[in-house]
Amino acid sequence: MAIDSLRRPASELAAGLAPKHGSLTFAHERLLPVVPGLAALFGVEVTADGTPLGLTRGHTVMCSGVAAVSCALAVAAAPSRAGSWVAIVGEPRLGPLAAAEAGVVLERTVFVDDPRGGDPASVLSALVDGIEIILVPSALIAALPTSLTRRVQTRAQSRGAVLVVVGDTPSIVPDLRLTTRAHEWEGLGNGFGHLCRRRIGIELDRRRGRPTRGDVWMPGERGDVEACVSTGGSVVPLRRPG
Amino acid sequence: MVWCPAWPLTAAVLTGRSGRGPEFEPAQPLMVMHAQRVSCCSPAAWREGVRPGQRKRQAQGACPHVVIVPHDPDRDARCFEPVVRAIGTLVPLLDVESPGSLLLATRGPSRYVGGDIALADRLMALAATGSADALDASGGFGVGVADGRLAASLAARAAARSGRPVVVPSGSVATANFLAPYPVSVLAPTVGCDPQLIDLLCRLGLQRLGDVAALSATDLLDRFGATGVALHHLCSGTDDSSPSALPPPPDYTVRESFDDPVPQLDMLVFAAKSLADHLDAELAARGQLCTRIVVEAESEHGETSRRVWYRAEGLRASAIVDRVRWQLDGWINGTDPPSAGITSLCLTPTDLRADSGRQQGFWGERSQADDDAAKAITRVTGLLGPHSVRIASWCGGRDPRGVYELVPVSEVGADGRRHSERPPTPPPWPGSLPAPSPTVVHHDPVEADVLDAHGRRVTVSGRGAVSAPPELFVRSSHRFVVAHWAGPWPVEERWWDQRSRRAAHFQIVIDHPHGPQAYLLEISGGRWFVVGEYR
Repeated sequence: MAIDSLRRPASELAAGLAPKHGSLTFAHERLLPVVPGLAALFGVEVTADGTPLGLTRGHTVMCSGVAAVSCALAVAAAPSRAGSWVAIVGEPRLGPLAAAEAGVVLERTVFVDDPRGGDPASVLSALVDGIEIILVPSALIAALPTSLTRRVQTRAQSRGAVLVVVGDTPSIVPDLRLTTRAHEWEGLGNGFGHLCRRRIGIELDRRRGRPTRGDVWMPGERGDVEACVSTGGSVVPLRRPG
Repeated sequence: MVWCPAWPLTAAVLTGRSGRGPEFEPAQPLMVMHAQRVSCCSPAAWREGVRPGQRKRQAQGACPHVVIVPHDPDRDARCFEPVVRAIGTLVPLLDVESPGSLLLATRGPSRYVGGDIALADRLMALAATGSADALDASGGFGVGVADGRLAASLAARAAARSGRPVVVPSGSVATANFLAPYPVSVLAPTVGCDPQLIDLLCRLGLQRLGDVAALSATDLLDRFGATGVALHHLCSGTDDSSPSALPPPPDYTVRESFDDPVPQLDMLVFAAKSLADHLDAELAARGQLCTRIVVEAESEHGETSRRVWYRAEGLRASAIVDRVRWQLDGWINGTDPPSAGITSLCLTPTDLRADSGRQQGFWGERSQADDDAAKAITRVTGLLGPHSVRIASWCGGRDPRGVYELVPVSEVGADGRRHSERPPTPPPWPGSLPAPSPTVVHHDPVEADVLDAHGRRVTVSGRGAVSAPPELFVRSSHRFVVAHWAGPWPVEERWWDQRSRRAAHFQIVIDHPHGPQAYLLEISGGRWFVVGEYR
């Protein structure tokens, strides 16, 4: 009997436990993937299938600094590849091509008009109900009363959606803050070359614990995020031929 | 079967005549666009080379003066109502498949009027009453008489082309002989066969219906399951889903009675929605799908409107609501409206089949996330308007602003998935910039200025030479030092028409207090614009 109960799949066991301990979820249900380039920053291991899980569902992520848009796209990319939908609200200028290069799957991405003419909180709540990653410019959040922002945030928490705020605003308290600083652009000379990649310093600050820092290429040569191998001094990392 | 090849066009002409819509001339080339494809075109447009399934650009390339008629199924249904009514005076029980196509059992009526050919002539005459010259826009009605739904629709199509009724002799051998030479692709528009299945049949070398019928039913059952057997029945002319003249069984009937008669269409449609949801949920719980439904409405004075609607793909709640709306719109706003409000509405599914999940979802193959997202999108569309939610559609091009175009989800519909997909090997666009692309693109150009060391504006000559290296970048009166730059990449587009454009692109990196920032600039007509920002 005891062995039989151990042989049951974990999910079945969880169902048995649920009445006693409230709802029980597993780590992989609570977490969404992050791109391998950001895995070290999130403090997670890159698994064999290349999708490290590091982004907690229901969290609010604030991407700020000079590379805020690239950073937000990088956060959205891995869950989007894994089957989540992405909504980009009130930012029609965001380049779909750059989003595609960053790894966001455009088939599952919708661009929603600026809801400031209507009822932004209802629109955000409706999106949170069905779409897992929602990119919102900070200006839109700042225009909302704090009570409504909190309501949207709570709703996102209960539905397991991730709110990604692009830009800095004091009117929302994020669970995760990604601050970017640009170090250098590579590939452009004086009258020759073309933009190849950008090295940025990125700092991840959870509400608890010490912030982690790291350097990444964002965008990398193909437009996605590449981990920055520490090169030391002025050694230029090897580039693929062609 | 009575069938009109391009009913929406006739409906548009008739609506224009009655002053309820824009006017169209039946003799001019007309076409209807739906989901960014031509869904039907008039004979005049066909002669010029417009074909259903083309994109707008191709159609306009074939016939530059083609007029686009708006897609509006409600209008089509409203205009079809008088035709159904006219035929209803001769044959009371008929299945309306869609606006422009209806199906009836001929056995009784044929005996009454004296044979299939006489019946077909009578039907032609009745269908064309009152809309004779408007039918020029669509090529007129075709009446086909045959055993089985597929043969009848093919006969009607042939009749519409020839202008004379086509009667296929009764009997499965005659029907099979009639069907044999048709290509398998006719299964898609007539009986709603899955295009993937048709593609597969073609690849298996089964090009014609006769090839499929020649196989044994057991082989088709082995390979395709129940679908295969149905396919064999269809192709060999032994399909038994002919329109029935029997009263429907009352088991699943849902009914709503109104204590106060309801005169408004909106309220009735709203009531129909809850009825349809209830019916759909009940059928879904039994794993069934209804393919034919009877919609009945009764007014306070006892006038009734009764229609049978058929759809091969099955009628889900939304499809049922559409049909109720079409029927009631045609009745209430038609030529012979009820004299009082509606007191009862009744939906009776008459044909049920096992729900094998054949109906393709809105987003193609669905997951839970897709379902949830579709719901959220519908909700937001309701809040902000039909054009507020858009999806990126791949167009190609060398300008980062134009590679993807944002199209409303409500218009693209089921093609959403296919639209955004970048082709696996995108065609080369010489002169386009390599990755990475700007994360922020300005569709409305943002003015800026680029100055050289002497404070003069940097210009590009006709031969693509830069007047001096850029030193300063000025944007809304802020000045930044240009650290690096590259360009110009001249772009000369559309030199053949009025939209011709000459420009040159530059990439620059400026020294900003927060670190280096990159921009994609364009100089056009001696003025500088910010095209994209790498944020």
